[in-house]
Amino acid sequence: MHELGIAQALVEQVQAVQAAHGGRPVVSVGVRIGSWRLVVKESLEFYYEAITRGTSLEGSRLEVETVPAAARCRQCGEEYAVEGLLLVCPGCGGRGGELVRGEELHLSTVELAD
Amino acid sequence: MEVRVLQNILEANEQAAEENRRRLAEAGVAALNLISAPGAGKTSLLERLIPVLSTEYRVGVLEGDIATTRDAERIGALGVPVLQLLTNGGCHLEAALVGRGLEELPLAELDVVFIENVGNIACPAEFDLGEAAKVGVLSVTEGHDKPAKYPLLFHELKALVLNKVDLLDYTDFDKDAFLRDFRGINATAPLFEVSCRTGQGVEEFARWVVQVIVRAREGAGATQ
Repeated sequence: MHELGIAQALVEQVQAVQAAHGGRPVVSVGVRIGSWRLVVKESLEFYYEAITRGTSLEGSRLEVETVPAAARCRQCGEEYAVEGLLLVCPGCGGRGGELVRGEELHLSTVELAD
Repeated sequence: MEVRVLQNILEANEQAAEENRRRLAEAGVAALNLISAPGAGKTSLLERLIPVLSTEYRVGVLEGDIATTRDAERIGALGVPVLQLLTNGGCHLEAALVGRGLEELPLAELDVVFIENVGNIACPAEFDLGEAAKVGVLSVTEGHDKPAKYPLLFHELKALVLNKVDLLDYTDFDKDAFLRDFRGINATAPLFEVSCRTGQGVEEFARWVVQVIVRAREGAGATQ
């Protein structure tokens, strides 16, 4: 949800990077979104494209990398990939682990034209 | 050329939340972010809780809603400082609006601020308000499958109030199934079985709130 607001915040951040690098055209923008975030990739791409039209970012490509969720077991300390939506350790069966990956909402890279 | 960034896209909210956190810590005030679906009983819980807490502690409330001041009026009747935050259509509270609310509350004369979020079980989990803890309210009439359906929220909770337990006999709420799923997402948040109607469980929950208040006070003492 809230993909429009997220796209707007993202555009501001990317434009700041662009300005800091001589205002060069932006080719692509890499974002990392954790799989537990309530953000729909297609909606974000749609809004990003819509609001960058007619701006210094027009034509730039949004590349969304989904970060798979991972948790640390509270019982045995092992880190494991989260299958589904419950946090159950495949090693010892410990329940309710601590989510260590999967909540990201990051701008990670901006590719500028040379 | 590729520029590596690593910036939280919702940084603006994070910064506002940290500012709220700082202001609350300075005043030694605990803030609790109350989250639930509409009608689960957030306001009713406060109506039961505030008289119990107010014998020893000074309570303030920020009420979040899309429309009306009804909830602020209910809390106002209890005689504690309260402000209605209206989101103008927003489905969740954000840190900047909460910050403006905190400016209006007499923080120096409070021990705890309850921030009653907009009734919504999905979106509020994503927006840090600067609170010490997120507290969820789930009513038995909503069904036992909600922790599995809304894992982000239930994982972030520091406490969960299971409300309307006086209605258990009239629902198909399966407590074992609920606990299995809840503990599969969250191993540590205490669960309080409450009925705002009968008053059951309110005192136990109040005792947990007091622990949070005491920790916030100690934190303020440590920085002086």
